[in-house]
Parts: sequence; structure tokens; C-alpha cells
Amino acid sequence: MKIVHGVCLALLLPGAVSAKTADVGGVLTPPGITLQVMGKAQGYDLSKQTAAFNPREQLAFTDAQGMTLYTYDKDPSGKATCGGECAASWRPALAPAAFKPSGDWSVIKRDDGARQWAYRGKALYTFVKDVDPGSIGGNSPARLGARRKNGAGEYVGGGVRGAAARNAAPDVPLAADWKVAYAFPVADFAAPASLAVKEVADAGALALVDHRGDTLYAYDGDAARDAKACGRGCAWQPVAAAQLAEPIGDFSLIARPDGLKQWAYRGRGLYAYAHDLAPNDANGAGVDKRWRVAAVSRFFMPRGVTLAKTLSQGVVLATDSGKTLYRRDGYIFQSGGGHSLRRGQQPRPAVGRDIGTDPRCKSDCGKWHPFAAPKNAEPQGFWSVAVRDDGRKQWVYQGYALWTYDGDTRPGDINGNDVLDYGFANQPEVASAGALQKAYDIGTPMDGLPALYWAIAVP
Amino acid sequence: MPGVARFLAVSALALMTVPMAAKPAAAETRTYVISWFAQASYSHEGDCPGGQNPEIAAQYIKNLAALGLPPAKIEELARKQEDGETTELRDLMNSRARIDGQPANPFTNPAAVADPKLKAMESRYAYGFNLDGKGAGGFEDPETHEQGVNHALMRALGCVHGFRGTLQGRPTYWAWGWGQLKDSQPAWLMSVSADDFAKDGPVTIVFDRALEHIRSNVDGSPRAEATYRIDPDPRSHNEFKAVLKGGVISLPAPATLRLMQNPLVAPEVRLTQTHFRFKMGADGTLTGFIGGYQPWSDLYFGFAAGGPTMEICIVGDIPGLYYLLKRHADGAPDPVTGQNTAISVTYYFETTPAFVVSADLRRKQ
Repeated sequence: MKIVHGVCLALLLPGAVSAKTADVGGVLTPPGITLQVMGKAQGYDLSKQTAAFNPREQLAFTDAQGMTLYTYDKDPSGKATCGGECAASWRPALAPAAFKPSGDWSVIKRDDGARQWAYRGKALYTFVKDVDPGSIGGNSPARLGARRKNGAGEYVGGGVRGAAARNAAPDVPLAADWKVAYAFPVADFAAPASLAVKEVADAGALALVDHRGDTLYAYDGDAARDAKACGRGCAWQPVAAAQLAEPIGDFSLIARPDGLKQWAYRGRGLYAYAHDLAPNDANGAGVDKRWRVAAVSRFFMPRGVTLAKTLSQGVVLATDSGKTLYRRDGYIFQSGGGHSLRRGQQPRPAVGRDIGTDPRCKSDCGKWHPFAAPKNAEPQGFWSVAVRDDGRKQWVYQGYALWTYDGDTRPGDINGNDVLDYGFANQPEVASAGALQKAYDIGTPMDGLPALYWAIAVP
Repeated sequence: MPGVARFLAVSALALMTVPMAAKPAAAETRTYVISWFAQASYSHEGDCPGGQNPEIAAQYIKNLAALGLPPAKIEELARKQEDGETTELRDLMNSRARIDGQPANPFTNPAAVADPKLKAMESRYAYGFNLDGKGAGGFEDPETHEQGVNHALMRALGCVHGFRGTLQGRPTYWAWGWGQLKDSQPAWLMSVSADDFAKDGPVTIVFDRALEHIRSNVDGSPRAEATYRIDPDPRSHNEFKAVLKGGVISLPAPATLRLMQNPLVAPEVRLTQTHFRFKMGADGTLTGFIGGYQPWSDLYFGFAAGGPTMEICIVGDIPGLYYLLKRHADGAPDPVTGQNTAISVTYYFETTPAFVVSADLRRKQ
């Protein structure tokens, strides 16, 4: 798959739902900067676990190809000092000429005139030994997956699971003075002790959460007079502050008529929503336009993409006409079950890259359609762009090309989910069976019979 | 909640049970969650003359010989494997297929492995139905004594240790699969509607998939009277017009059945020429048999996706199973090759009374 990277032509506007649900903070990444889930949550090595139990605790900033971005401790703010031999290993991450500094993102002009990305003033680099998305210091989590060629053309992986995985050589430590540029956890965020910033994927944002991990919402009106706006059976619950609490950072205090103090973020009163039942729920999004997810920053969402609720699998990515979006993935044999759960098998960007835009489809193929990207689409956030053989562009999310299914007729339908095509041939022509294995043996980290399947695209 | 009260409550929920109650209101609808589902096995002494197929360690020795290794080398490899000295034997087994003379994955390329000629079951009895209408060559059902029963999966797998069992003595493979999946796989639901269950007459049977997995008690047994929502995904919605006679529900004409499952066992249960036979117990339980022709590739995927781990721990020689399935397949011949692509099978299931509601109320309003 050919990932498009290049000059930023225009800042793409966020999709309709993200605008409704999370517009307190700005977009986290500019065009040309992407995000990768890091660590165990990449889901390459599931063993008996299900990915549903691997929380996404780290998000890294990555370049247009999904390669991890690093900062150099010896760089002073606003200057890049890694040159010469250093730059042979740590390559400057170059910004497009058209990019204009915005928010935390700026450009440092190098001695040779090149324009290098900088985040919060620190120059950003890639590491020459990183060949798979989500690698750190040359160590690729994708090596735990199926035997496959990595981005450098070397064979890696091959069913390293269980005891073999546990006994595998440890990762080479990251070189001294170099650090991964993490988008999450958010560094240097001043907040009251009872509040935190977490990824709320269902709202497409890094957002404020309370001490239980429940999503918080910011109210556009006067919090001191919210009773009338909220009405009977009000589901919006003010976030109470201790009586001795002091303002901190962007957080201030509202004196409510009932004598309680309430936390406010950037001047807006904060609330929990009674119908959020677990961390990452964002059921209050879109319920009342005055209450919006208290986003510190939002993930980029292309125009024409929305978040849709399904009955069985929670929130999924969908087109603005309500068609659920799918990825084509390699099946993982999970002896402990869990495949049917939401996030039962998380996206593995290197596997998605290997599969590309050819779904190797056997059944119902005519009902699957690539989710087209506009000609000027660029990688940003979790999104990148693939160029199909016919030259058309296809949106890619977390490494996987996206598709729609004709069998979905109503918003929230996931009627194409979990349909498998096997990679074995029921005939004696063994040579063709071998070819079939080659075509299907992508991302199956066991030596058993491989399969490709359609999976809903979960944010 | 006593059974009668549950049925009244179910009636009160009738408007909510949209897919299951789309037909004219029946006098009574009983709803269940399927709490056990497995091949209906009837293994018994003497059904494998000369003994069962070898355990995997012994089969590997045979396979090494088939690859042309001399006895002394085989003995050395077996000893080293046993002592944990090397994994050479296992490595050889994991690449025992040959494509153009080169080692290849045997689970993905079973046709490129020499047929180990595992033996099939030889018995007069197997649970099931006369699917093809022929009397000759079939089994006799040990319960109904129907002749000409087609249950070729029993014949194919009946001498493989992991598949041997009875309705109560559950076969290892199916017990393993159910145990792994019951706490994460969406449950299957069933409703039976009739004007009067005390009289013979027409009944309507509906199978659906739930949004929730089966709920269990602390000891792992299925929890009675739990509530499940129906998944509106049409792929798992099945409705049959059946007949109740003498407490037994059966299907007067063959039909098709489709229930989404989990690839750990098979991605879905797809049956053609479906027959069934259910018994309603006085205690509110319902048990029964479902038979039909199933694509054997779905079953093979369940055996083979786990590769060597499955082969060693549960199912035995996987290419051997491939040949057994292929050899005994008895339905849906490929129009080009003539090879049967489906195999006759009978499943046995148990249910637990449950509340069943629609998950889709807003769409219906």
C-alpha cells in the first residue's frame, strides 16, 4: 500500500459528529502528523488474552508513514542540534512548506534550510531503525505477529506466542537523551487532583474524566442557573469541588446556588452524564448541544466521517450517511475466546499495511466498496490515505483501508461484521493451495489455517 | 420466578419481542437461551473395531515414517522431544506438507500431506435424521430408531479421541469450545409459540442471536430467567413453522438455518436440509436435536486455525481430519469436481428459560 504524504494543501475540517461532540479543544495533530497506539494495546501478541483487556494507555505522535517521532533532550527549545552523524540515525521529521505554526505545532529552520517539525518547541525526529508503525528505538511490536516482511523488507515474526514470546530477547533500550513524543499521556497538564485527561475514543478526543474515569462534559450556559436548562430528571451531574479547592491552570470554580462549588474548565461548568456507565462511554454526546464532551484536544476526523452507535458493539466509524465502516483484517486464533467482544481484536497497523487495498475477497465481494478519500486527502491523526491500483484514493484508519458494505441498510447496522474467508483450498492442486496460503497468511500469529475477515472500524 | 409468571411476563413484553412476535399473537410463547450446543455424539464400546486412532504422539511417529525417516532417527527425535532437548520433531510435524518437494504448512495445505488414513467409526447407531430420504447406508437413531439416519460427521470423527462422547459425557473438543466461548460469544435464543402447548398442533420456532453472552451462576451453570436482547442482525434470524405432537416438536419440511458463531469453533452454523426434534419438559426445559448438511470447510477451519496447539492438545492429526471430512462428506456436491462440500451432522442442544426482548425499540416506534 502506498501511503500518501506530501504538501499540506488545506486544513481539513472535522466531521459533523466530532464538531457536535467535542469542540472544546482543538485538533491534536496538523496534516502530515499521525498518531499510533503504542505498546501492548497494539494487539499483536494476544496469546490467551483478548485485546478488549489491553487499555490504550499510550498514544505517540508519528509521521505521515506512522513512524514514531522523538525528541532529543539536548535540543533547546526552538533549535535542532542533531546533525551530521547524529542525523544519520535520527532523521529530522520535515514539515511541508505550506505548514504555518498553529497551537503546539511549529517549524524549526535547520542549518541546511530544511523545515523540521517541532511540538511545544522541541524538534521532532524519526529513528532510522524503525520500520513498522508503533516501533520504539527499532523494536517493533509487530515482530510478535505473523511471519511477514517488515518495512525494511526483512522477515520478522512467525508465531512467537506464549512461552516463546515471554522468552524472546528483550527490546533494545531507547538511546539515552531520546524520548518518544507522546500525545498521551498528556504532559504538564495542570488539573485538580480528582480530574484527569484520558482518551475517550467514543468521542474522538482526549477529554477530561472524573475520579471514576467517567467522561466529563462542558456546559455552554450559566452553570449557576443550570436547573432550568436541565429540567426534571436531569441527567447532567455537576462535578463538585472540595470547599477548600483552589483554581488551577485552566480550571476555575463556580459557586452554585446550593452552596456547592463546581469545577469549570476554560470557563465552562463541568458535568458527568448519568447514562455513562463505564469509562470511555460518551453517551451524552449529541444529547443536548449545550453540553459537549470536555475535550482537551480532538482527534482529526475527515469530512464525511461520523461516529455511529450500534446495538451490540458500541460506537463505530461510519459515513455521514450512516454506513458503518469496516476494515479487512487477519484473524487471530484466541484460545481464550473474546473474538466477539468490542475491541476483541484491535487494529495492528503493520498488518493493515500488509493487507493494503486488496481484500482478497471470496464471498459477497461485489457488496464491498472502498471508502473513497478526496484527491487532496492527507495523513492526519489516526487517518492516512492509500492509493488504489486505479489511482483512486482510499481512507485508511489505524493502518487499515476502510470499506462499506451494501448489506447495511440502516445507521448502526453491522451486518458485514465478522465474515471470514479461509486461506486453504479444498482440492488436490497443492501448488494453488500454497498460493492461497500466501495470499491469506497475513496477521495470523499462529501456524494454523489463516483467514481474512471483515471487522467493524472502532474509533 | 415461577414458570407461569415468566410466561405472563413474556406476554407483557410481547410488543418488545419484535422479531420473535412479528406473527399473529400466539396464546403462549416460551423463550429460552441455548445453554449447551455440541455434536450429538453416541460413542460406545465396539464402535471402533481395533481401537481408536492413535494419540498424537503415536501418530507423529507414523507421520515421520511416512516422511521417509529411518526408525533410528525417529526414535532419536521422539526421545529428544520427550526430554525437552529439542523441538525438532514438532518442527518437522509443523512443516510436514510438501509442495514441489519443499516443506510447507500442513494445516493450511492438508492436501499436500500424505493421507494418514485415520479410521472412521463403524456403528449401527448415531443420533440424527434421514436427511436424504434414503434408507440404505444410514445409521439408526438410538432414541427414535429411525432408519437411514445421515450423520456422516459422527462416522468421520467417531474414532478420534477428542470427539468421542455421549450426550451427557461431553466430547472434549465441543466441551472445550463451549467453555471458551460461553462468556464472550453472543448467546443464541429460541422461542416456541403455540396456541396451546397441551394439545398437538402447529407451533412457530424462532432462533435468534442475542446481544449478550449467556449469563452464568457462580458455579458456571447457566442462569435461569436472565434477560437477553435480540440482535437485529438479520443473518441469525430464523423462523420455522413446526408441529407439536406428543410433546415432541418437529419440522414437517426441511429448511435452512444460519446462526453466527465464533471462528474458534466455526464462524457460523450453516445448515441446509435442516431437521429438528425438540422435547419440552414439564420443568420448563427444552432439549433437542438439529440436523442438516453443513459445509465441512467451516468445521475444518475450527480444527485447523489453532495449528499445532490444537493438534497436540485437542483434535489430533489435523490433515488426517481433513481427509476424514472430505472422504465422508455426503452433501452439496461441487458441480465441477463432484466432491461433496457438505457433511451431514446432528447437534444436540439444551436450553435454559430466559426473558427475550427486542433491542431495537426505537426503530420500531
